[in-house]
Parts: sequence; C-alpha cells; structure tokens
Amino acid sequence: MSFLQLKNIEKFFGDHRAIKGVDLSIEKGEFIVFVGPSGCGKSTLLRLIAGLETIDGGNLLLDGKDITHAPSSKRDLAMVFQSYALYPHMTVAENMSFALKLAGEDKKVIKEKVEHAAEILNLTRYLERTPKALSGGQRQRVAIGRAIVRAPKVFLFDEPLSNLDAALRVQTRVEIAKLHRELGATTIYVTHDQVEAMTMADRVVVLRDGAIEQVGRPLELYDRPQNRFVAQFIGMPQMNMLPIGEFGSYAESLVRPLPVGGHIGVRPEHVTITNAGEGQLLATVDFVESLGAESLVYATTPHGVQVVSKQSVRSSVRAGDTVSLKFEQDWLHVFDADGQVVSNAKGVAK
Amino acid sequence: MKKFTARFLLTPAVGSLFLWMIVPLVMSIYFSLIRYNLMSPGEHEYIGLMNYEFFVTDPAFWPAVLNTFLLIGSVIVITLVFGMALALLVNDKFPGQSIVRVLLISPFFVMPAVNALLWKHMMMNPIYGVLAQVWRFFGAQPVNWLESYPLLSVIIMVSWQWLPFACLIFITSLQSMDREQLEAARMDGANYVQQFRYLYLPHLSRSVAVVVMIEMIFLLSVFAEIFTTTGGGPGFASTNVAFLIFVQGLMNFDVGVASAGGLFAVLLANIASVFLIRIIGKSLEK
Amino acid sequence: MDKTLLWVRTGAAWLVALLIFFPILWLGMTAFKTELQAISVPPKFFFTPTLENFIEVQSRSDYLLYAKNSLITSVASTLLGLLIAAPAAYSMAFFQTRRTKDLLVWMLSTKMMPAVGVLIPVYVVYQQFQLLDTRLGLTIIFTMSNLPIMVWMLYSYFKDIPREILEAARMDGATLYDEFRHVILPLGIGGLASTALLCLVLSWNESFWSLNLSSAKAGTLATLIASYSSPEGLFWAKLSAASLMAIAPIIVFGWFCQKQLVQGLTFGAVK
Repeated sequence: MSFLQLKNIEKFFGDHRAIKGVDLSIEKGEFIVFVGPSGCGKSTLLRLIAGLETIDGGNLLLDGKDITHAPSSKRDLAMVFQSYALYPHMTVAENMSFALKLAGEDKKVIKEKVEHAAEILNLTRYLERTPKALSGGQRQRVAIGRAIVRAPKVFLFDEPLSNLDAALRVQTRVEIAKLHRELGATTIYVTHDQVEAMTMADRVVVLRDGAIEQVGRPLELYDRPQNRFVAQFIGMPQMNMLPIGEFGSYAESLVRPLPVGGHIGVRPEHVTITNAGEGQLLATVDFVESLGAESLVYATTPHGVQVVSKQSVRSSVRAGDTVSLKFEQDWLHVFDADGQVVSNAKGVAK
Repeated sequence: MKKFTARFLLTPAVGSLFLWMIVPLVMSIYFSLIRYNLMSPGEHEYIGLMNYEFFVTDPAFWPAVLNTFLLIGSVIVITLVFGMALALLVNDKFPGQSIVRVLLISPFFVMPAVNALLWKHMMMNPIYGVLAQVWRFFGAQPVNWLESYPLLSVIIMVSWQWLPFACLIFITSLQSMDREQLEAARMDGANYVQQFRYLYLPHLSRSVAVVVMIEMIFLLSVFAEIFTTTGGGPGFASTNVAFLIFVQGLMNFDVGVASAGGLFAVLLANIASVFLIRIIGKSLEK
Repeated sequence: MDKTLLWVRTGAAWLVALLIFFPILWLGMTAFKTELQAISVPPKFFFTPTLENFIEVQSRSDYLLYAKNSLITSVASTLLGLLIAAPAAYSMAFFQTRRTKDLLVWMLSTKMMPAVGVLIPVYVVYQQFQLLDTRLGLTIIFTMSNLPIMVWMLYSYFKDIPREILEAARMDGATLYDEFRHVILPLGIGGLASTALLCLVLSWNESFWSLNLSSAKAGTLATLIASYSSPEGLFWAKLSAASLMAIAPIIVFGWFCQKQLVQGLTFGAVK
C-alpha cells in the first residue's frame, strides 16, 4: 500500500466543484509535482492535503491512517508557503524551532536539530536575525529549514520559488532537488512552471479544472502525452497542433482510420525548414527568433495555422519567405476530435 | 469544532452587548407606556402613547431635533474642511513638524467638561474673555457669545475638540499617498487645484467616510458641553435631543416622558445608522 | 521660489497650531495666576506664578480622590474591554463567516444608541444592584460603551496579520491557544496598544455617565470639574487649576505615546 493516498477527494467552494474527485497514490520518498495553469486547483489540492481546507468528499490516508478530517497540527506534515509565512517577530532560530518547542521537545535536541538544518541550508550565520533582516533567498531557506527541522512525514511546497528572481530561482531549484536526494523525504511540490516540474519531479501530476489530466514521469509526459492539453502544456515552445485536414492525403499514411476532426501534434524540434517541394506543407515565414545555439522559425500555413520549427543551425530564412515544412514521420502524435491521443510518436520507442 | 471555538470566543462580547442593548430598550418601552413621575408617587397606570405625545408636543421638541442636526452637520463640515486643509499644510516636512503635530492633537485629549468651562469662561466671557479682549483690541463691540449665539458657541467648542481627530485621520491617510502618481500628475501639468480634485480627494474619500461615521456616533450624544455652558438656553436655542431628554428625566423627574424621548433618540440614531451602515459597509470591504 | 514656499508654509503651520493650542496654553497660564490676575484687562502674559490654586483645589474638593477614581475606572474598563474584545475580534478576523460583517455593524450600531436614550433604565438597574456612585458601576458602563469600538479596531488590526502565518503555525502543530499566545499576540501588540490607549483616553474623558451615575464617592475628574461650573462667582484661577489637573495627566500621557495613539485615533480604519 502506498504512503499517501488520495481517494476520490472532492472540494466545493459554494456551488463550485473545485476539486472533482481526485485519486492519487504517492510512494514513500517520492518527489511529486502538481502542475497546471492558474485556477486548475493545484494549490487547493495541496491545502486539502495540508488540512488548511476541509475535505468535502473522499478519503485521505497517510501511512495507513485516515487523516481526512484530522486538523493540520495533527497531520505531521510541513509546508513551505509561497510568501514563506515566517513569523516576523521571531529570530531565524526561533522560527525553525517553533514546531519542536510546541511539541515539547528537549531544548538540547532542538538546538542540535536547528543547528544541523542551518548548516545544511547555509544559515548558521543568520540564526539570530529576524526575517526582516534577510534577503528573499535567505527567507526562502529559513522557510525550508523550518520544515526540515521537524522531519515530517511529507513536505509540502506551495509555489515556493515564485517570489524569487530568475537567477535565484534556478539556484534554489537545484538546491531543493539536492536536498530531496539527501533527505529522501516524501515531497509534494506545487508550481505553474513546467520547467520546475520537469527538472525536479519523480512524477508529475498535470491538473486542469480540478481534475487530473495525466500522471507520469517527466519524460513520459513529454513523449507520451495522453491528450492535447498535456501535450501542449508540457514543452517549450508548445507542441504544434495541426488539424488533420491540413495534411490532405498524407495523413492517411499515418493512421487508419483517420479520426474525424482530430489533430496531429508535432514538437518544434521535429519540424524542419526545407526547400519548396521536399516537405509536406507550404508556409510563409512570419518571423525568426535567433537564440544563438538554436533558432525558432514561426511560419503560417495557407489555412492560417501557425507552426514553430526549432533548429539547431542558424537559419537563413527571413520573414516573408515561402518555405516548405518537413515533419519527421516518426515523431507525430495523433489526437482524436475529443483531444484524446490515438497514437503517440513511434520515435520514442527507438 | 472550529465553529464551536469561534462562537465561544464571540460569546462574551456579543452577549454583553446584547444585554446592554436589549435590557434598557425593553425597560424604556415599558416606562414609556406608563405614568411614572418620581415627584408624584402612586400607581404606575398604563397610559398608552400619552408620554410620546407629551414629548413630541413639547415646545422644545422641534427646536431640539433641528439643533441636533445643525450641531452634527456643522461640526462635521467644519472639521472635514479645516481638517483636510490642515493635513495638507503639515503633511510635507518642515522645521518643527513633530511639535506642530503634538500641538494640533492636544484638544482631543481635553475632556468635554473642561473644554466647555474653558470656552465658557476664559474664551467667551463677554468682559474678561480672550475673545472679548481681541474684539476690543480691534475696536469692535465684544460679543456675548453664549447669550447671543448659543448654538454657534457650542458648535465652536465641539469643532475645536474634534478638529484634531479629522486632521489626524487625514494626515495618516496622506502618508500612504502614491508619490509617483503625484509626480506623474505634475509632469502632466496638473495645478494644485487639479491635484487636489483628482488625486488627493479620491485618496481621502475613505478617510472622509471614517470621520463622518465616528463623529456622527459621538456627536449624537453631545451633552456635557451644553450642560456646563448654556444649559440648553437661552430658551431652547441650544437644546439638542440628548439634553432635552435629560431635562425631562432628571430635572422634571418624569421617567415616562423621558423614556419616550429616549426611544425617540434611539429611533433617530437608527435613521442615522442606516446612512452610516452604507458607509461602513463600503469601508469594511476595501 | 521653493524656499519661500517652505517658509510660508512653515509659518502658516506654526501659526495655526499655536492658535489651536492657545486655549489650553491659556488655561495652563491662568492656573498659575492669582484670581485678580486671571481676570485682568488687558490679559497678563507675564506674572509671578503661584501654586496657591492647586493647594486650594486639593483642600477644597479632594482632587486626589477624583483622580484616583478616574485612573481606576479608565484602566479597569480598558483591561476588561480588551479581555472581552480581543477574543471576539480574533474570532471574527480568522473564522470569518457570511454573518461576520453584519455582526460587526450591529456592534457598532449599539454604540450609536445615544446614552441619554438609555440613561433612565440604566439608572434604575444600577439603583437595584447598588451600583450607583461606585467605581465598579462606572467601569462596567465605560467598558460597554467602548466595547464596539474596541472590537472594530482590533478586528481591523488582526485582519492585517497574513493568513499564511497562522496557517504555518497550524502546520507547526500550534493549538488555538499557542496560535493566540505565540503569533497573534506578539504580532497584534501594536494594535492592542493603540486600542488600549484610545480607550483609556475615551474613558478618562467620559463625562455623561460619570456626571449622571456618580458623585462624591466614585466621581471622576469630569464630575469634579462640573462641580466648578456652578455660577458662584468667577474663580477662574482655581477653575483653571482644577481643569489643568484633570487634563494634564492624559495630555502628557498622550504626548508620550503619540505614535501609538495616533494609530489608535484613526480607529484602525485608516492605514
């Protein structure tokens, strides 16, 4: 049996069904990332697990115990908030030791644990400061330290990096991932940033409108998206999505029977720009973004569908050029009219 | 569980306020329906609405209602206008700013009884009062304030007391004013009047609501200032509803009529509160 | 140009401030004059100060007793008020329901009930329970009349405490008591202080109830001052001395706690 189990969890805000019966099993030591666009319910789901919102339906089991209606303080979980939520009137040391102090832990043990955590997080020098006197990144680390000191059953992170600047975000991301490797603690991490999801997670849970779209390892989601939403949510730039009609008879060589009203998806790196006649589709170049190591070519087909091609060579095409787009046949995903996958790219298996 | 705790914590406050409201109210209703004069003991017979009739037909009644509104209205307008002007004047840094502020807020700490006596004697006395001396210095005939302009005198005293309050609210509010917005407006060529009209005034609107609300609450029951200075006179010229009820109840010893008056005052307060609740409702939303 | 403007503004500000403060200044000066100097025409600005008036006030009407009553009733009512208002404000701020706002408005509306409207019933009840002219009686009245404002102020202060900090405490295993003791109280202490200071001032200066419900035994300084209003001749110097003694403690106190008080004076409604 798994460590943390969500069984048909539901949440209503008034008449609005915010979480629509979520089932999920999380193993001990796993790093799970909830990802999705804003308003998809990922933070709500986390808060339900934390006990900060009441669960309206279903069951929540932690380590074999039903904690569906247990108060937050009895769940043995630790949370790192987006705003850090440090106690402004306490020093860093006091912030980190608060939970242990409430639990009546021995003073010497508390001191040891706090010092140990501070060492891991490089906070030793700041233990006597108050949060006001710390930088954003340091505050972030204190918030993490507060969670580590308790050695909880599960760590919960609610978009912890969104208040940091870009450089610090990357650095902290790496640190959190490293910390997880060292501590091996079960972690649930909420973010709207798919890069964080891809780089940190053991498994990613993609949410939309309060329901799970797909659960899987990062590359699995990238390679085998179960539907158009996941296909386009994961990956940057987005997967190109073309109505099957665009391809004419060529499409018939890909799948049979052809899903009426379906789409063919192809990632930008699998679209190449060739001379007219060699590819499957003609298109007019809108503009070219040269990023140095690679270039992105944005082109529009005669039916008005924009296609992005990512090339690792510097492109010589310019806006206004008519080019032919060549799609790598092994790397096409086919979706039916409802957006569900019919077949994923064959290339992955190879 | 959570709900229970929340209720439990609320109970002392809600319970005591409820008692504080309902017990006097029920008693007032009861007293207002019987004949009850402390000077003429005897049975307290039921006399229907006669007490109300007495109170409302009292020659002082309409003047008192009018005076109540005049007093509240004038004080609110005076404190709003001067309070805002003063706040704008002392908002930016200048030498001695903090001392000026201390001086400005001082009247608020003066208790109403002292305020009244101070103005009655040392300021407004027609012979020895400071104002009289100033008048004489400029060759004018000193004014007998309390005799000639009793209501105005009370308005002056009360305004003096409440001006610091309005001023302080505005000062606090001005400090959260967006500097960049002001600079942008100056770049756009807005003059002082335009800056005031389009930037300061909208920013201060919430404070205006607060000042109006708080002052209304406190000014409905202005009493000590009238009691210690004009005694409501001459005639009824400075009698407000609060003072009229006091006269009925404690000077004429007519509990019945005074209770009827008290209920009328409650009614008046409720009418005022209908307006206020709209303001409060808005300012609570933020 | 800018410099002139600054000087004009400075001058204007000082002038207005002095004008507004003048009555209090004059009161203070008169308190140290002899009765004759007090009513001299033209007014005397320079004179040899005398302490006679203060001694006279104390011996004639036992100033210290009234001051003690004022102090006890205002401090006691402030503490009692905090004790009742703080839990209520906490509950309203952090366990908000749809009715919270209505409840708050209702509380404020009880404050709008004019004191005279309920004077007689309160008088009768007090007579029944022998609370007339007692410090306990005044304390209760002061508490009740300040309670709505205290709840309102504390509510608006508590609401400024970020929800997430309380949630963090809950995650850290804090019980309701821990939360209040270790998080709300230290974070809300400024708001509590401001509220307390304002209520202290309001109670100290309260005149209506103390004039009507107390006299020789539990009378506050407001009662003492009112007794000087009887038209038995012009004893301005003594009146000023008594008045000065009545307002000086709270004014000086107000100056010292200016910052907190200014916060309090805005009733927590303006940030």
